[in-house]
Amino acid sequence: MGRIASWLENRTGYRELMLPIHRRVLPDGPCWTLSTASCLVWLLALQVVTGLVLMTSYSPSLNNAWASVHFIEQTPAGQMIRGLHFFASQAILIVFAIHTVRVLLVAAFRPPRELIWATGLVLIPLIMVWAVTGNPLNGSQKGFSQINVEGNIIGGTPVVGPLVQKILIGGQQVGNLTLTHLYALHVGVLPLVAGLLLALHISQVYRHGLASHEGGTLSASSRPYFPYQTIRNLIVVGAVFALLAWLAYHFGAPLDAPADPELPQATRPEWYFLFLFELRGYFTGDTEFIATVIIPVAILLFLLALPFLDAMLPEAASRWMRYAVVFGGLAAWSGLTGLSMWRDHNDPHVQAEASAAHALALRADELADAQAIPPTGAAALLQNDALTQGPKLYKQYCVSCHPYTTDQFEITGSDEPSAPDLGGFATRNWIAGFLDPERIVSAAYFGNTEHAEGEMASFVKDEMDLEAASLDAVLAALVAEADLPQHHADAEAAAAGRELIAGEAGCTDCHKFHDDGDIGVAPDLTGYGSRQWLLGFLNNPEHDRFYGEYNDRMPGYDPELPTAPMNQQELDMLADWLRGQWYRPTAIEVDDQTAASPAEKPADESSDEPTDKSANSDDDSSSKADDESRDTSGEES
Amino acid sequence: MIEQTRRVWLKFTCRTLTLGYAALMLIPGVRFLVDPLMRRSTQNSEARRVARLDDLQPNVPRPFAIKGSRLDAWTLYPEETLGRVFLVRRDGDTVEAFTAECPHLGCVIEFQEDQDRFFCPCHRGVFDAEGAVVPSDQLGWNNPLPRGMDHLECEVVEDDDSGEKWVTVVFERFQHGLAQQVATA
Repeated sequence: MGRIASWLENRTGYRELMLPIHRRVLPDGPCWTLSTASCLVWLLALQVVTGLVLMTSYSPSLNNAWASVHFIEQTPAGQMIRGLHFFASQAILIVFAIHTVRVLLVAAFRPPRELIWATGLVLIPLIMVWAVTGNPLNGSQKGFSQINVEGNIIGGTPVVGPLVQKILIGGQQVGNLTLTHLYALHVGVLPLVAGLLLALHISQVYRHGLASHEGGTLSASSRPYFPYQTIRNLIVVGAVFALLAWLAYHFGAPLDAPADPELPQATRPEWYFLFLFELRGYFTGDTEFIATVIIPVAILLFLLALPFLDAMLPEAASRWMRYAVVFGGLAAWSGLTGLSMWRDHNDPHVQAEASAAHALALRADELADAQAIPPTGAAALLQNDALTQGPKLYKQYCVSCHPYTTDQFEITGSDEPSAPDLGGFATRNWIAGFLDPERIVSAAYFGNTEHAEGEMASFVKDEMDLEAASLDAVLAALVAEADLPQHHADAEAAAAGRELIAGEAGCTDCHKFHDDGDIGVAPDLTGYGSRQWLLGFLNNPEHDRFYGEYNDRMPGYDPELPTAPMNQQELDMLADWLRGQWYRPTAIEVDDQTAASPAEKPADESSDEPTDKSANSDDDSSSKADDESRDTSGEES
Repeated sequence: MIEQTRRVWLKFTCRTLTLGYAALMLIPGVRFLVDPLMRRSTQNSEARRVARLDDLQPNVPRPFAIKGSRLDAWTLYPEETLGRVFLVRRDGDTVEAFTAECPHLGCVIEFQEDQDRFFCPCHRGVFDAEGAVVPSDQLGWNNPLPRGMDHLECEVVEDDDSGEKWVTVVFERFQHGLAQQVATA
């Protein structure tokens, strides 16, 4: 060992290179607050290591960015590495702030240390930009809308702004070039520039030594830096690393839904930029750049000039100024940040958008876990998802007449509902409402339609005479026809029900049902509520198979029509959503047979029935809840 | 003296901690990077219909593309060319299938009709019309092939509806450079 070391020493002189480290002296002895410098170097090293590992699997393109980040999260140790990278970037900002505050308080920027101060100060905005260029790389909606807003902020700067914006974004819109540009900045340009500044900063620190209260002379408590300060540094670094590892393990880095302009976005910057976000709110229009550019630059210039201002002032005034900068700065920063958070916290709209974005992120993650990403990119996951698109389509095309109430969704239009509530469509409880003399003429069913005076309503009110058990069988038969993915009917009851429908119950006097009855008078009950039936109905409710000439106001949505508002895929997703047919990580079946126990048959009592609650699994108490809401509306009318 | 011992001990602790932290930083990275080694092969051993028997002439190799879905890290390509095969109809309606991937270093093998041989252009590998390695007999040229062309499992099936005869192939990949045909792990 010794021989190898001396062989190396003879050729490289590495001991001489290490000498400054070994000779370094603490003028006032070791101190915990001095650890911030070492801590920052370690954190930057951690960023280099985790960043390089992430680079091995990350792909900066519109179609791949989100997908590759999701892939990283799935790879063993991937969540830890990405989490460390995410939390360490924020730790760097916090530790850097503490580092700067300490320098200000002890006036360590005084001659000959002006360059240490200047290089360090320039590193702060540089590191913030570094973090900002990293956030959109994951290809998430949040990251994209952040960089979009940030690009526009840059664009708001007079003269050069629009040019810089266009180059950064790589054109008019955030896209492939934005990602490659940000990536080049994040992993190439900024590390290089920051590394050079850091090298200059540290070499100056070594050249001038650590600032001392005694003004250069060694006090009695002076000690060599190594190991007395080093051990403190390492203990602090160990604690910070442990905290980061814990955060990465428990929370991981967030991954918002894949970028898609269709998604809701109440874009907020990361917490460290909220003060500028808040400040911007006090300026409007043409003057916004005062908040976003002029003020930050002015603060930076003032701080850069601090060593020279300090030299002109008497000691007492200098101390006053330094304390004013530190505590004024902290107060202003935390005041603005807190105010911004408080505003958002009390803004229901922002809160709703945030929770919607969170739900979409979870859904996208769930879908990506279940199926691989299509070549067109991860945005397609949510774009083709019935659960995500169904409610949107319903809001657009259906809710002006049909409300929709389950405990999972409550969609109401601006107008008075004028057609049946489709929440829980074709479930047992929903069909039961149709066969209930009071509920069929309530607002939740035919109450506000022509059919309130129609044959079906009068049949249910006056003619239909079924025992409870027979009604259950009929319901079971219809539930079996609908074949909803989460509801299944007892086969025996369904078989009995089918016979009743075609016979005793009298349904086939008007309705067609398999081989019995005829079409043209009332909707075909064959496959009632099935995907194929529903799509056919949505295509053309005036077809003889459905309402024919008795159709009230239901428009047809045949995608072949030149005026069709929805294409086939949208129609499919709407039908799937109405039928509760979407991907679920763990399928939970609701046995409609248990819900059919005679005890709870009178719908009004059902909500208080304890057995009825336990019969429904937590996941799908929707049919129950929507039943309740329908009951109340029925009572009112 | 006590101060002296303390300082030595502190120096030792500092060095150990430094190395320890560096190692801790690297461990998750190493685990992440070696993940491809931990992944099981995803070879799909289903038999795919590749060609109609009637489209093959006796003893004339014809190349066909094998289409299928392919998972590339995070992207699933639903319909892609997974590889190429040569189908050769032999006597009595039996069919022989070779993968077009060269057993040497994985280039794509061609069939040269004029010379009635298979040829890999990358390193001048020469197979005869039966897919066997042609012995090197030329000065200054060594046939680089470790083994003959790789056989694929192949069957002639009759379509239930049309009664047409189809050739099905189980497409697989094999390790390069070995004297035996071994599927890639």
